[in-house]
Amino acid sequence: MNEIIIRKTIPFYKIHILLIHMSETAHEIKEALLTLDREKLIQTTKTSLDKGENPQELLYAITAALREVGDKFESGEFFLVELVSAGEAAKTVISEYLKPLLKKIGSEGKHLGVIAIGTVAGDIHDIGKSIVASMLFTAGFEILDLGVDVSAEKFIETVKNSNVDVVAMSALLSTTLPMQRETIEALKRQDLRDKVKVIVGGSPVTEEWAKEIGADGFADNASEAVRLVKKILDISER
Amino acid sequence: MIESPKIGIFEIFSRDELYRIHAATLELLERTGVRVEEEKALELLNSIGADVNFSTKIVKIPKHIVEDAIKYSARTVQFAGRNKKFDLKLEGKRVNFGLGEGAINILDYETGSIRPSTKTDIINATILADALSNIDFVMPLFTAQDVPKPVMPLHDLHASLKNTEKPIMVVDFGLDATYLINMAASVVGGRDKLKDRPILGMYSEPISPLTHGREHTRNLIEFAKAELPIVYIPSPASCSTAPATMAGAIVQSNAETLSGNVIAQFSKKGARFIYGADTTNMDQRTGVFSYGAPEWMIVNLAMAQLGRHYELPIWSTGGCSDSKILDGQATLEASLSLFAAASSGANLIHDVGSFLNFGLTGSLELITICDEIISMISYILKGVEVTDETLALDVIDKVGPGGQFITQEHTLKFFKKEHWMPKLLDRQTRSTWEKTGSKDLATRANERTKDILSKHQPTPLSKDIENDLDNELRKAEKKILEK
Repeated sequence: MNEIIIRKTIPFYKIHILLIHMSETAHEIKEALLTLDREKLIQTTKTSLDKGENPQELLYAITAALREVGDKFESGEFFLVELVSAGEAAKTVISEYLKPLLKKIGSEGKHLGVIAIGTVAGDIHDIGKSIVASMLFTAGFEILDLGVDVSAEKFIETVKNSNVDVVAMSALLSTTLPMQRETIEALKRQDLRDKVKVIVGGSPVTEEWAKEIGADGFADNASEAVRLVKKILDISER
Repeated sequence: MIESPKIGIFEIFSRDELYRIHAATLELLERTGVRVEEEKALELLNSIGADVNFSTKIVKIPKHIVEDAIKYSARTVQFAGRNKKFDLKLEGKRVNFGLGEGAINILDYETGSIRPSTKTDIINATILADALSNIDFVMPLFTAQDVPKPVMPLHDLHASLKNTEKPIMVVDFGLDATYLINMAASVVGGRDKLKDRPILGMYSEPISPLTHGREHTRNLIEFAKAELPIVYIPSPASCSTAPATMAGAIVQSNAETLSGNVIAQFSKKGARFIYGADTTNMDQRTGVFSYGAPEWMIVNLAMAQLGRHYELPIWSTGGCSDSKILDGQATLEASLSLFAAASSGANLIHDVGSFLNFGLTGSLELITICDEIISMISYILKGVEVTDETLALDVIDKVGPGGQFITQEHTLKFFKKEHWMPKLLDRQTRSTWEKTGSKDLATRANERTKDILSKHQPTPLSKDIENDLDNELRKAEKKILEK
């Protein structure tokens, strides 16, 4: 029955391509990420690299699996801690095992853009910023997480030294909120404001505030932040 | 205010469990410790024998220090109103209710739409709270979004001091607490008098997990030394800034508030420290810090039981909601959280009737509705009086089988005392309800809110005092904005 349906709906050569692309390794990587089995993900990566598999292909497999994790979160099948855990496991594997090899062969791997993210000076609230960072990573962005209590100078230094597309600033206290404005002003003084997009977030942040300080956008939750970044960078949803 | 609830103190832990939570808390503070960002506090903790690493700022606190601090704490905290008749005594099972704080939006009662809040909104919320008999203390429900951000907390307090005679609790937004203390002092005639008439308290938070932020620690010490009520409690979200297990989240919360108490008590023995935790869960679909979660409600019960064990005055939360509008969800979550908090016997229950949208939006109508909810809860928690007269055997015998009680003197004597009367809830028959406009709860609350605001005039400050307060505000504003 299934066979008949497949033959009717998908031409044979497409199934063939599908099968080739869904290599055993890709399958295992997907399974490891979807079952949140960090150890298995690391083991599979190591074993495949030892066997001489292309790190670029492994990166594709991880990115594809992460996209599926993201879909499952959006549809309500996965929960936030699962999404973040999958993202963190993938990040470890990419930065520790794949990136060094990709650099050697002169390929950095593809990403959708570079986000410099941090909680502003005077504020050491971490969690909201980290969730946004994790979701942006899962969506395919490269993340430069500057941590908490990040000064305007630190943001500027990062924009100068890396190919930053978006500066993302978090603040939880209404008294540290002005640092978002301060950082934007500092970017202007350094003639860097037009080189990057700036987004702001955090519990007391409002649409009005974002407009007032001249940010490019505001999101009140992590999923919205991903949509916002894609929108301001002109990246289509799929 | 519920002076002494007769029934319904929920205790969720057995003696053995209570002991294990306390023991685990002490072990955590001794083994893992806390990070303290404020240099002065590090030195203080070092001087009293805690194990301080000045480079990592990690402080491991021996058990005896934590227990000594509990012993030093004020057993009764006086929280004064500008008018003595509103004074609160925080101790035992005396339950008091107050507004929420720090919302950035208002569900506008004139237009029904949501917009950024202003100083005028704080004034209106304060006037309403001043008028409602079931609200015992006031917090600036909104933040004044129409003044420069660095001086916003000054205006929040300014609006409150002028418009209520009830005790005022402000939020620590990181601004130097001295400015706020000076403003309150100007109302009672100086800082010395403020100790005897502590009309100002502060709500401040450690940053979970296990971190005492610089400004918040400074303000904790400042309030402890000024001998003013200081609520210093964490607000972690289980699964993100606290363990997923509720027992673990409670142990961590307990360690956070009790290590704050160590800093307070060793800064000033007998500091008026108020204990508790605003611990909830991180919603697993949206990541929000949920205000309507049953997890928060059970933590309220847990912390109240622990607080009573330590004989510390207890902070708690109720009357708030995750809903965006004033609907069934809002009143459901407000009712349940208020009932849980009240029946825990906590001494200060905040967020009453104020919060929608995870604490970001305040609603005056919800305050009015919660006034009614609290009135019902108070009735229930008073229990049933059992005396010869209330057992009513004589009147039952007089009426006998098949009679009626309506016209009995016993009924006339007791019906008001023994029964609760709604002010807002509807008990009309359907046809009368339709004739009077078929109004739902939200509409009736809106009308009552407008009615109160058009009639109630809080006792104003004398002209001299008002001038002093205004001067104090201007002085502080100038200093802060010049920086």
